[in-house]
Amino acid sequence: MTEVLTEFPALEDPKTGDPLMNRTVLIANTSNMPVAAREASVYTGMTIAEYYRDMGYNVSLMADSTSRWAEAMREISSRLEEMPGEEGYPAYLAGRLSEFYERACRAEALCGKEGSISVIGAVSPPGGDISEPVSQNTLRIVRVFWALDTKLRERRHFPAIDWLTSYSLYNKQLAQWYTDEVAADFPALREWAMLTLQRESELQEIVQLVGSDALPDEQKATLEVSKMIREIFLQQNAYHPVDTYSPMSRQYVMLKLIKQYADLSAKAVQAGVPLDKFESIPARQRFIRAKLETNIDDELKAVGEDMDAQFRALGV
Amino acid sequence: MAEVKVSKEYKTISEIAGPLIFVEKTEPVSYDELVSVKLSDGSMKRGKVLDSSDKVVIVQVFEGTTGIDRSASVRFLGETMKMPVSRDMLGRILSGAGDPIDGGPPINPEQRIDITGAAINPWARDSPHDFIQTGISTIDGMNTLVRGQKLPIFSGSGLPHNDLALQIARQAKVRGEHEEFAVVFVAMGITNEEKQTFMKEFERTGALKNAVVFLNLADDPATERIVTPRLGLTTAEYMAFELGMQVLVIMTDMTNYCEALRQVGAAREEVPGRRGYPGYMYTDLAQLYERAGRIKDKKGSITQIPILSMPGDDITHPIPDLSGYITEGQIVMSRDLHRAGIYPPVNVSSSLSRLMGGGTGEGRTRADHKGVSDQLYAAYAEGKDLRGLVAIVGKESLSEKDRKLLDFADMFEDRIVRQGADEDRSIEDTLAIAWDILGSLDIDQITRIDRKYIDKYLKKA
Repeated sequence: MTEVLTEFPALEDPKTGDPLMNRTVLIANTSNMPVAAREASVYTGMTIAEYYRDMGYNVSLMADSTSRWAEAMREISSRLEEMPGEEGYPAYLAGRLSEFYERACRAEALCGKEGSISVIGAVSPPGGDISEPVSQNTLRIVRVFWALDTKLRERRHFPAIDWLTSYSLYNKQLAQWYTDEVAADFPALREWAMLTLQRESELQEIVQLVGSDALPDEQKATLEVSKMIREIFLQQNAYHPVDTYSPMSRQYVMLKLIKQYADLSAKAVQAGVPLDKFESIPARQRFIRAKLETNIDDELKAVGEDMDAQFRALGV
Repeated sequence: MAEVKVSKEYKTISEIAGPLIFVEKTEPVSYDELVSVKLSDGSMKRGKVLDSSDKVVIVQVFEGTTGIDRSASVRFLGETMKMPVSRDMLGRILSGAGDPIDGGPPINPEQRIDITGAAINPWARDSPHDFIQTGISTIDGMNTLVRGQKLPIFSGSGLPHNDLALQIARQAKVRGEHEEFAVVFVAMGITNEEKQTFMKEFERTGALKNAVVFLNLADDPATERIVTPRLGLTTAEYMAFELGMQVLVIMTDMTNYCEALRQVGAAREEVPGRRGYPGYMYTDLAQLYERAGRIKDKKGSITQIPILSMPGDDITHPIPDLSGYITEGQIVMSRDLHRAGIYPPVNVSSSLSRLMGGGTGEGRTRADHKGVSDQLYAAYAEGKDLRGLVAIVGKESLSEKDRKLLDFADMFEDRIVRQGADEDRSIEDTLAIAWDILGSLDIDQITRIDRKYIDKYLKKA
């Protein structure tokens, strides 16, 4: 908690450069404070959020973590000697969770302005097993799920969001926005990237059985492309001044470049260029490192040109 | 002496159950109030109020209820439990109830402090970011410990967690500073043999003169175990925030503490929670763990290393699970590495220090630290995955790059993880070894580190 309290005021809004604290309210209940206050704290937060919503603000509320909130409910419930439900949680757990999440909304306030509340709730299930009641009851209500994965954490892939288990049910609604605001082909690119990652997980299963050497070149190339998606696009270093914030426009350029590489490498495979020839082109190295450079956008541009030239040199 | 409070003696014990006695028809007594019980043979026992109602007061007796009969008399002392503290406690060995057991004189208190402590206002806390060098590569390099952090060791029975804790206590220092350093060692339900090891080690290294030792051994009453860590932490708080010392608190074994909680909970016929542990165990553990930290404008700090053995090596067990919620990361011990003869058998992949970001980098350790550690994690994880593959398809069918990763994982365990029990590596030593083994990889396999550091530190084989 102290970390949050000291680091938040120091954070800078990447869009305006102002301190982030200027538009933040923190509600702190550390684990050694009274348990009843912990149960109440999410409601305190939500009420404050609604107050701002009614003034026409768009509020995002982060609750970390709802598991501890549920833990508090369980503790109070057991003190009250209520009949325990699943895993000792009170029987009204599901009800309380949905009452809380359903307060997220977009609404027209009495003042005539439009305001909204977006809720991001952290759930920390014991041992990462999401079959327990808090996770399950939460998943029944929410429409977006970011699954943090211990395997990814172990290899320091951050943010450790598992791309295959996570989902958003808002993709369709947002497609138009992407087309208007980012690029017409962004939704298609996104779909292609997801497909490649999905394909990677299937191929990995085969690799686990027979080894990667046994795969045909075309599939090996797919594995390389998905690795690029993971390392360049999905992985970000929160402590790196450049890498920590990637605007949509840059995300688009990155995906587009990876797609460019994928297309070129597919052509190269067809033309019979050996795998290690085009996998070791300098443009690829430059691409991977571009994230850590301050002039990243220029770098990315140069990578695109380099890539074309270097593939051409290989006869593709 | 403070004024003596006159209080009544009650001879109204109606029931004795496990560690609890039930006293009837008392005047109002307060929650957590201290109680003295006089047995019919004249000996005294102490306890505290667990439950107070208009008819019955439930008292938990620290020394156990053996020998108490219904004619014993009970006196409520009108105050909660206080710990006498003084600078002279350094070098002393105390029982789990706080009485000297080293044959020395009683402690002459400078202050008497309530053992429950008070929750620190989060705003008054100072964020921990001073790097503590433990001299252990897997901690310094991969899971950096900072002053004021609470970093538990998740272990299992039969693993050398005590050796590791001792090595940390022996070697831990904040570099470039010469501040008063103290160790508070809290033993809960450990065996006599473990105790001997600890004591011998403290004496051998001269650490005892800067340590306060609380001993509640396996055959001491379980109820006393609930008080022991609170006594230790109260002492630590006094030394850190009144005397300005840097205090390291080692608590072993938290599992025994939780067993004691369960035992008392069951005796009170509470509704049991998960696996029979009381529902308030989370709050109870938080009251201990949250007493670590630093306070603004105070010089001292409390760093906690609780040790807990996971029953059946199960990390989802309520004790490690709830501890993990509260603490700032964990060091996990691995049975596989231990069997392979590697000391300290730290399972780097599942270990984590949440405060590492603030304690590393330019001016704290070295600018390349974060990148190097990320790279080691990533390459080691990939190398470990490949081991599974090699078992099925053999090493021959791996690509050149994969083979390098596979060798890297072995080198990592052999050179970074493995070290001597008396080997004190500086952070520069650790990073030098890291760069050395990174040199075995292809340059394009090193993707997590800034170019400028690679140019500066990487030596190609």
